[in-house]
Parts: sequence; structure tokens; C-alpha cells
Amino acid sequence: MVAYALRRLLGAIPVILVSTFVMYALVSSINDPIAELRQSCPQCDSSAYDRLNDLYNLDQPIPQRYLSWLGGAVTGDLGVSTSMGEQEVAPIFWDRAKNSALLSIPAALIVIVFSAVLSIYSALRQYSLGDYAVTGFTYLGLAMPTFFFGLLLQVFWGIWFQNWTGLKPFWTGGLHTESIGDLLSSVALPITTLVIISLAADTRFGRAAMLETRNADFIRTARAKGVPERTIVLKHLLRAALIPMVTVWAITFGTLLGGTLVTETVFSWPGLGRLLIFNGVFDGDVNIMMAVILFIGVITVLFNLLADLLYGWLDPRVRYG
Amino acid sequence: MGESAVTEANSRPQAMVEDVAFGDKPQSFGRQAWKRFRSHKLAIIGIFMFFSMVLMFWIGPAISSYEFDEINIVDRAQGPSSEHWFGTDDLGRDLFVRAMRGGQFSITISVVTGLMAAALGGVLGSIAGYFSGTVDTGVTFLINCLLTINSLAILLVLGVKFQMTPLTIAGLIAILSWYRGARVVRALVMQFKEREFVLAARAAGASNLRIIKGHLLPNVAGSLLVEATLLAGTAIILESTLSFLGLGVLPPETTLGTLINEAKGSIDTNPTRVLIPGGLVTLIVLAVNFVGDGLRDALDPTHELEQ
Amino acid sequence: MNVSGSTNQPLLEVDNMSVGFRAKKKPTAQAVRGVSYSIERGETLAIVGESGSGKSVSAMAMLGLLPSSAEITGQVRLEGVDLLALTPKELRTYRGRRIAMIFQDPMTAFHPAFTIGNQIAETITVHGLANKKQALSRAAELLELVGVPEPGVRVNQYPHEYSGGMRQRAMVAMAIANKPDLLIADEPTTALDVTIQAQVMEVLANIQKEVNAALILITHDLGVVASVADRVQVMYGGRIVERADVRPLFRAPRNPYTRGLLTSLPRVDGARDNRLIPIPGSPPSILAMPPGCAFAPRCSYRTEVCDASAADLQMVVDGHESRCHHNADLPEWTPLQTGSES
Repeated sequence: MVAYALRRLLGAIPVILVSTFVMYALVSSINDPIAELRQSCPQCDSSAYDRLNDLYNLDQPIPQRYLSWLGGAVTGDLGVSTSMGEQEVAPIFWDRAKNSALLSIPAALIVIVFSAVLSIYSALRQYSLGDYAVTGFTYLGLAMPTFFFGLLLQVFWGIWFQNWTGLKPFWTGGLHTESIGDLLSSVALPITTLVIISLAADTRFGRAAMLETRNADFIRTARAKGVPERTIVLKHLLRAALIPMVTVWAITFGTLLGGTLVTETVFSWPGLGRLLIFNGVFDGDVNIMMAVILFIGVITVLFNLLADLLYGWLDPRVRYG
Repeated sequence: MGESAVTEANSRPQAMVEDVAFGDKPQSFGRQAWKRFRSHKLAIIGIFMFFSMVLMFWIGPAISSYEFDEINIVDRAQGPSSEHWFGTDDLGRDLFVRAMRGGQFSITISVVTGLMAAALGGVLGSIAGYFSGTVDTGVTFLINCLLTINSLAILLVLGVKFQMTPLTIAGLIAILSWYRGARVVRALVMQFKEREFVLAARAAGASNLRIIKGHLLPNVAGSLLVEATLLAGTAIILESTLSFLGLGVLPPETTLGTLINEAKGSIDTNPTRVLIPGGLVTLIVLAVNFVGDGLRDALDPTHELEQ
Repeated sequence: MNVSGSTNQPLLEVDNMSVGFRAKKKPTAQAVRGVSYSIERGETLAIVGESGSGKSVSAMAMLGLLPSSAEITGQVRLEGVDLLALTPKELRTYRGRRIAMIFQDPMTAFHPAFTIGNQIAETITVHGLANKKQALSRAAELLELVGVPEPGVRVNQYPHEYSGGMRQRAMVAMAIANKPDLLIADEPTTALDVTIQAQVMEVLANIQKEVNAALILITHDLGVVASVADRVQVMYGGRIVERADVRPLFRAPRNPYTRGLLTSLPRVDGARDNRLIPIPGSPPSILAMPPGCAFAPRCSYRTEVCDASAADLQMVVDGHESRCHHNADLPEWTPLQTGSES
């Protein structure tokens, strides 16, 4: 298993290299600080250009620039920002990553717990009112764009609820750390937004997995052996349905860690997503963009690998040789 | 991914079902599938929703007396009224007509993307699954690369620098998302190519192209169609997200996401401007997903699982 | 372990049991229609029929293993206790302890993620008959008993590490773990290779003798029936159509359906001119049973009375029952007869 994991990791390296190179080439050829400087500061002398070349190796061809960026990234040096006053990217990145984790880790845990509970409930009470409600929720959750759900929450808590009650229990934007209460009230809505979409997808999957397992022959065998219904659900059914579900959870975790872009934008959250979109994409800051893109890529690869390993660990039929 | 173990364990229909259902007249698979699709309530609702929205989006602008880009500063930023059913935006443009116009683009983009991505994924997936070896390694590598790239990030990078038309948006999303269809098709083709009917065709001297076209594609077409509906749904969401971030089509052209983006500044005073286009996006995706579910259940009644 | 019945009471009595399946917008499907029989301790009763004849459904119904859409009427008495009247909780204490079931497909009947040993041991522990450790060592003993080699190793293996035949042996081991009074084997060898089938049947028959259990053998394989059964009842369209001891049944079948089954089977005893004669047509749908005799549409002796009403199960000769309007006037059965009559 360890050998398999290592082989998979080694196999993932070319994937990461190629995809980051493609992205690097793309963003570097689109964003040219020299041209921008020429436009924004016609009177600047050659020392300004030399300085830019010095900082970003702009006089070198893109593959070479990529290699030196990569060399830095491997050692934790993510280069210097163009848009944020020539600051080092790495400390900014880690600072923002912490803020993102504040949303994504709790969201992922909530998704895992709730999707497990909802799918068990829904599958055991198939065609009951509760099951219809769960199914309806999964459809709605999957159909609603994240940003729209975020806006709905803002409208509801920021306007309607306040108009009715005069209270505003949650912050509808920004990270507020003045007190624990502020912190909790500022993470509440963004986390809810993050949870909804993944929860809908995972519950839908989990319900199908449970239903299919519920009708399996080995469940009938357990019943014929005289195993109590409760044990059948909690031991036999859950153990078998867990195999596909755990892999989906691992992927959800990866997606949430890597992808809070939209939610952070809606809630003005100072995390990686906002860093990528506003400082990276909108300000044409290559090193900022690449830092976040690399992070998303690595997280995705790692959690996909984790999903496979968990699968093999839970299902004795799968043996990685 | 070890998916095969799951399908294997679950592919056997229950003995009980066999016992009860014997004696029904045999019907062709297509007929049975169509029958199941027709009796799938959600699928019918989905079709109905989808086509009523198509009708509304294309006929709506015709029955309104406004043009989607008709500026009227005097009537700007109004709420819904009998004059302007959905109200007006900051330039006094009629939001009903603009929503219809945006809906047209959203639906077009979703259908075009779904078809393109499914076609691309179908071709590459079946080639990879059929020939295995180097070709498969290459396609799988591409799939893995696309997996690690965040589609939204790439769309944003391009959207900042280039002006998008609905067609380029559809094309880009298709290029970024075909891999989902390819994974499904590849796995299916790998399963089918060892089956007796394909081996028989090969023994009879059928060419590779003939086997893929005549024996493998018909068997994966259903799953690919389901995948196309899922991709169509994802495409609408991606497109509207892109437009919401201000990187969609060039003004005065509009999509539903653009409308939400334009309205979010006045969300405190006029939330309906956000709710209407957002609701429409949700309804379109809902309709498409209903149809996809109906198709899946119709084509594979024993299988509720979907990766 | 169990108190054996002291009186002449049979171990199990099935009394006029019917099973129907409710379905939306469709008539209730009658899978089993008024079946009655009994079985003694140590006896092997074979229930024979095509798929859909109701043979599996009737067995599942006894143990409450049917989906909730099933409507079951009648009585199933195990030593006088009506199983169908028990609460689910009470019935559970019978399952796996006093009545054990052996399923058709050993591949899917075991949980893929638990070891064989654990699954056998669970049968013992859920009934509180031993602790986990004792049950596991008992599981190894049971595996040895059914002829699984290296039971000490095998007990810790997963189902996918067993071959088909070994898995079915393990299934037998699991069924007899609590020395049940009644074993129900539902097509126990159908999923296996022919060479393995005989071995597994032998194991099953020996084990049954050893624990002195009654065995209900549900099968469509007349070869298996001939080799192990004491009595046979043939089912068709949810009813018993013929019942006799195994020798008379094979030597002189009385029901046209049974005769059809036998002539459609290859024989290996060297009889000449034994062309196989398939029964024309296919079994009726349980959603649309013929009003009269269920077999009438396919029967070569069919007359008007057959379409009008179903016959009763009548004693034809001592201990040999058949459900046919023409019991009295059917021609003598000759094992070598050809298709001349049809």
C-alpha cells in the first residue's frame, strides 16, 4: 500500500508539472508587466525596467521563467508580488490560506457528518415525506449556483430578517475577529454557502449508495441469520455503503480546500479565492495567481490519491499491487 | 479508481425481482427505456420546464414593447410594475426583456456546451478505452491534468484579457469539462470491448472503426447522453458564475449571470433584481438535471449509483 | 440444544399459506396460492419448480424475508408456534438459530468487507450463544466440518479469497452454526460448476444427518433431487401440483407437468430413443394466472374442465398426490415414452 501510494505520488508529479506549466505560460503571456509599465509610466527610465526584469526574470523566455519559479516554489519561495508593492507572495499566501481554512475545514466536516446522516435516513425511509424533502434539497442544492445561494443568504439575513425583527445575527460579509462571537457570526453564512452545494452532491450520492446496498444479497443473509435490524443498518449496511462514500468525501474535502473562490468573493472573505480573483486575475499578478493555482492542483491530486487509498483500505477486494 | 469493484458487487439484480416479474412480454431495450422515461415524473416535469422556458425566452421579447439595449434614463432603477414587469436597471433598460435575452444565451450556451463536451469526451474516451496502450496513457494524462486545473480560474484568466462571445464561452467550458464524459465512456468501452459480441465482431474481421462505431458507441451512447445533460447543467452554472464576476459577454449583450452582477450593488434596495435572474438559472439547471435523471433511470433501471 | 417434539407433531407445518405482492396500479400478484405441507426432523423435502413457480417466495415468506409489499396469509407452525403471527423481534430469534437459510449465490450472499470467520461467528453471537472469541474458534471448527482446507487460515480470509465451491461450503457452515432444526437451501448449487455441485450437495446431506435437521431443498435440478431428497413436491403457478416420495415420483409421475419436466431432462442411464421433449409455451405470469388449471395452456391432456376450474390436490395412490382433473384417466407413464402423445 505504501509502495502504491508512493508510485501514485510519483505519477502525479508530471501531471502537476504539465498543468502548472500550461497555466504559467498562459498567465505569463497574457500579463506583461513591462508593457503595463510602459503604458502606466511613459516617463520611467530604464532603471525601472531593469528592476522589473531583475524581480521577475522578464528578459528570459517563459520556460526558463517557469523553471526558476518552480525552483523557488519547491523551496517555499513563491516569488514577489507585482500588484501588492513587491511583497513576498509566500507570507501573504499562508496568511490567506489560514482564512480560507477557517471556512473550508469546518464546511467539509459538516458535509461529511450531515451527508452520512441524511443519506442513511433517506435510504431507510425511502418514499417517506422526509426522503422527499432530502431529495428535493439535493436537487435544489445542485441546481443553485453558489454565488446565488450566497446572495440569497445575504438578502435574507441582511435585509428581510432585519426588517422583521430588527436583529442582524450574522455578518453578511468580511472576516471579523474582534471577539469569538464576531468570528462565529462572520463564518456562519459563508460556511453555510460552502456546505450546501457539496452536501447536496454527497447526500445524493450517499442515498443512492445506501439504497443499492440495502437491496444487496448480503443484507438479506444478515437478516436470515437473525441479526437485529439496527445492527444491520449500523454495521452491515453502513460498512458496505461507506466504501464508495468515503472516496466521495475525500474528493469533497479536496474541492472545498481548493475551491472557495466564489463564496469568498460573495462574502468579501480575505482568503485564497479572493486573493486569486482580485489580486491575481484582476491585477494581472502572475506570482499570486500561480501560488493559488499550484495549491489547488496539489490539493486536488493529494485528495484524489487519498480517496483511492481509503477505497483500498475499506474494500478488501481491492488490492493495490 | 477501483470503481469496477462497486459495479461488480451491485450489478446482479435481485432474485426476488426476477421471481415476480417473469412472464412479461419481451420488449426491445429502446422501447422499454422510452416507456420508463415517459413514466418518470421528474423527467416529464423537467422536459416541460425546459421547453416552457425556451418558449418564454424566445417569445417573451417579441411581446414586449422594449428592446434589450434600449436605454431610458428617466425610468431607471425601478421596481417591478405593469409597465416594466421585472423593473428596470440603472440605465433604464427593461429587465424583463433583458432577462429573456439572458435566458436565451444561458440555454444556448448550456446546450452547445453539453453537446460539444459530450462529443469530445465520447470520441477521446472511446479511443482511449478501445486502443489502450500509449493512446490511453496520453488521454488519461490529459484527463488528470484537467482534473488539477480549476476551470473557473482559467476562465477568469482568459476572461480578463479577451472579450468573450457566448460561443467562445461555450467552447472553453467544453474544452475544460469534456474529461468527465471521457472518463465514463473510457471505463464503459474497456468493459464492453472484452464482451462476446465485440470479440465475435473482431473474429469476423470487422475493422476497429467499425467495431467502435457499430458495437461500442451504441452501447455507451445512453451514458454519454446522461453525461451531456450533467455537463449542460454545469455549463450554465459556470457561465453564470463567470458573468457574475463581471467577465462574461460584452455589453450591452447580457446573460443571467451578468444581470445578477449588475444588480448586486442595489441588492439592499431592490433584491428582486437578483432573485429573478438567479431563480431562472436555478430553474434551468433543475430542468436539465431532472431530464438527466430520467434518462439515467430509463437507460439503466438497476443502477442508481453515479460517480 | 432444542427440545425435540415429544408427540407425533411434525417439526414444521405449512398450512394454507398464500403470498401476494401489492403493486401500485396493478392487481396483487399471487406468487403462492394456498400451499400446505409438513416436514419431519431429519427428513429432506425437495420443492421443485421453474423460476416463478413460487418455490423461493414460499420459503422466504416463512422467515419474514420478503419486502413489505408482500401479503402473507395462512399459518407456518414450527413445533406448534405460528411463525407468521410472531412479532419481527420474536421471529428474529428463530432466524439463524432454529431455521437457517442457504442462499443461491455465495458470491453476493456474503458481506464483501467482513471475513468469513466473522460472518459465521456473528450468526452465533447475535443469538447470545457465545462470546466473540468462542464463536470465532467455533467458526474454524465449522469450516473444517464442511471440508474447507486450512480452516485456521481460511477463517480470517474475505469472501473474495474463496472459490465458489468453498464459499458455498462456508455458507453451509454458517447455516449449521447454531444446529438449527430446519435448513432451507434455496438453489444451493445452481451457481456452481457441475463437478463442485455434487461435492457441496454431499456436504450438505452429511451435515444435515449430523445435526438431525429437516432440510427443505428448493431447486429446479431434478438430478439433485433424485440423489438426496426423501420426498418431493412439485410446484407450478404458486400451487403444489404433485407430491410423493422420491422413488414413486420418478418411477411413475402422476401430474402432466411433472411428466413434462422429466421428459425434458436428459438421462444418463443409457435409455435408447430418449429424445428430449421440451414443454411447449412458458409459465404463466403471476399477474395473469389462468382461471382454471395453471398448466392447462401448455398441457396435452387439457379439456374444457381444465380451463374452467383448478383441480384439488388428490391422493392418487397411497402417499402420492397430484393436482389434475384427469388423475383417473391419464395413460400409464412409461419412462421411455416419446413425444407421440403431444
